[in-house]
Amino acid sequence: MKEFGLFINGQWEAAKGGKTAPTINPATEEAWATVAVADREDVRKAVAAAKRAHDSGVWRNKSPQERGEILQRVAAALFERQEEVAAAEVQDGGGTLRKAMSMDVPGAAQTFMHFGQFICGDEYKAMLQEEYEESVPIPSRNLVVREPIGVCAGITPWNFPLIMAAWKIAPALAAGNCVVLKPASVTPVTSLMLAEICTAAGVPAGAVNVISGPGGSAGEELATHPDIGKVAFTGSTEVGRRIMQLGAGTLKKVTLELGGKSPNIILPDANLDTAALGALFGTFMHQGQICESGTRVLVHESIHDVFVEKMIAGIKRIAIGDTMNMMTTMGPLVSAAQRDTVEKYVAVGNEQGAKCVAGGKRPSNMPKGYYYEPTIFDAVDNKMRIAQEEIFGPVVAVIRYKDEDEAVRLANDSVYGLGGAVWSQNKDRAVALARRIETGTVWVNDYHMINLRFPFGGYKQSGVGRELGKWGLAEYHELKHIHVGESTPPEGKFYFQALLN
Amino acid sequence: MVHIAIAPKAAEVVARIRDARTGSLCFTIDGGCCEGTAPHLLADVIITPGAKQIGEVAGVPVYLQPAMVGIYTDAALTIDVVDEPLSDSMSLETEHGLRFVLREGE
Repeated sequence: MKEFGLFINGQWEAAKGGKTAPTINPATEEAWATVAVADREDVRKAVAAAKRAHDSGVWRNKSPQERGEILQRVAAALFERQEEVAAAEVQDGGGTLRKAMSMDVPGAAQTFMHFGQFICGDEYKAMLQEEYEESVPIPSRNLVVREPIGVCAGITPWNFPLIMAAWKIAPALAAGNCVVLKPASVTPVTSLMLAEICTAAGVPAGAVNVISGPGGSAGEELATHPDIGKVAFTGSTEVGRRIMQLGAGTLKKVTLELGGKSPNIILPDANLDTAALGALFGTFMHQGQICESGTRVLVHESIHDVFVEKMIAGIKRIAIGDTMNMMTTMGPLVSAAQRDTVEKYVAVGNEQGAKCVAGGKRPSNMPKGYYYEPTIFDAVDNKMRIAQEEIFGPVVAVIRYKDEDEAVRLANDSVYGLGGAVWSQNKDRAVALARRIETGTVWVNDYHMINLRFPFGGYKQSGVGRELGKWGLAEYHELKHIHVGESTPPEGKFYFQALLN
Repeated sequence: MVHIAIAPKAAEVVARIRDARTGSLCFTIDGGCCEGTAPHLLADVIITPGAKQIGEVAGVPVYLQPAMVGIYTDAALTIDVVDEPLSDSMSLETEHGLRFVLREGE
């Protein structure tokens, strides 16, 4: 069995208390690795290492060009170790090897590549220092400069461990910060591997630290530690709310990317074949364990029946099976607890009168592993629990609407506002509708198409701030205004008269 | 009417956590995402406007977060605890390799 420690100050360490725990492969229900479990003291040690690295200037004082080249080397190293890292991701989280090889590892590598290239370019140079010559209220030169915040903490969920780690680490490092990352306790391995890869690629010791430990202690320590300037969190709304409260004591900057119950609106003039497969991709990718999943499919009544038939027919193209087989497209849920949750909501959906037209049970061919069939509920009312609560599993609710106003009202009738889509062959009509949806991302004729160059995050209770692109990178900087006045005799400073006779 | 109860083992865990730290405890219940709909045991929480107290268990008040108020209008809920060596969320029992869970029905 593989063993992983904590990665602090450029090296592997055991937890101070010597605590370790096995991580379970959700496809086999068996332990496949052991990881060190950090307590508060380990977290403080990691934060101290990051603070020392930051204060020394070993990372922040490198030019953006130098930092960018190192980040691009991290991307290259991830591609070199793609198979090994992908296999670890599969065993830790229960996704398929197909997803790990095509999404997780390339997605993480491209995140490092994107930010690495961006900070080498002119656009970043312009972002780092803006200059304004002013004559009012007095002649002055004004510099608006962006500087690193200091030590940034990242706290990530178990659904996309490697990509989420990359989304936190790459922009933080790009901006010149040092990082302490706490991956989800059930899926820590690839984040730990990533820290080692970063160090081997030239990120200095202490600039990236990864420690796995419980939220209630290690997470709380990160959210309250005075030397942490920013916390970037992806996970549930309730934990996001708690991180914001805990961070208030030391006025931390926070970015939060939280839950969702995103609407996927099918207009009657959509290409129904593509839209039906898009509705499946939008809800069943990674067993539905994605925050921006389009779990409420809003279908115009005129196409409802044919659309639901196309969705049901499309399910045949999803292959449940051994996660390490490249032909398998759907693996197990991450844990027994997560499958219990899904089963509870399917029961609630049936009780409340929704009609289960596909799935609704465990697959008979997979006796081991936390598998669940892709499940479609038709005849769902938006007030039903399966339309309001985030299930985080392979369950989609199909809801009818009469006209666009009703579609918008239903789409926005949610405490969340993360993702969503509109499907139509009339792009202008779709964009006009997209503008009326209260979410951070709306795809037209697409789903889960996250482009690293553009901002991602939530409206309402789906989050605070944005990740990715130059907008996400800006969140890892402090903004400073330097006013450069004239060295005139005192009379030139007319406003001194407010105090001085 | 929402009725909230706690399993004896979960009550013992609450007592153990209360003895080991300062601060006033409360349970909050919210939905979704990685944790599912779960009770979170937290210290010194700022109660969300619109949250509703549905009772008290093991000497700790229990609140539904606003999004859950309309969902649990008539329910019998029980807070239980399970072993989960690698548990997350910011809930205080996670430090001890445990996890509070919400059971619906008597």
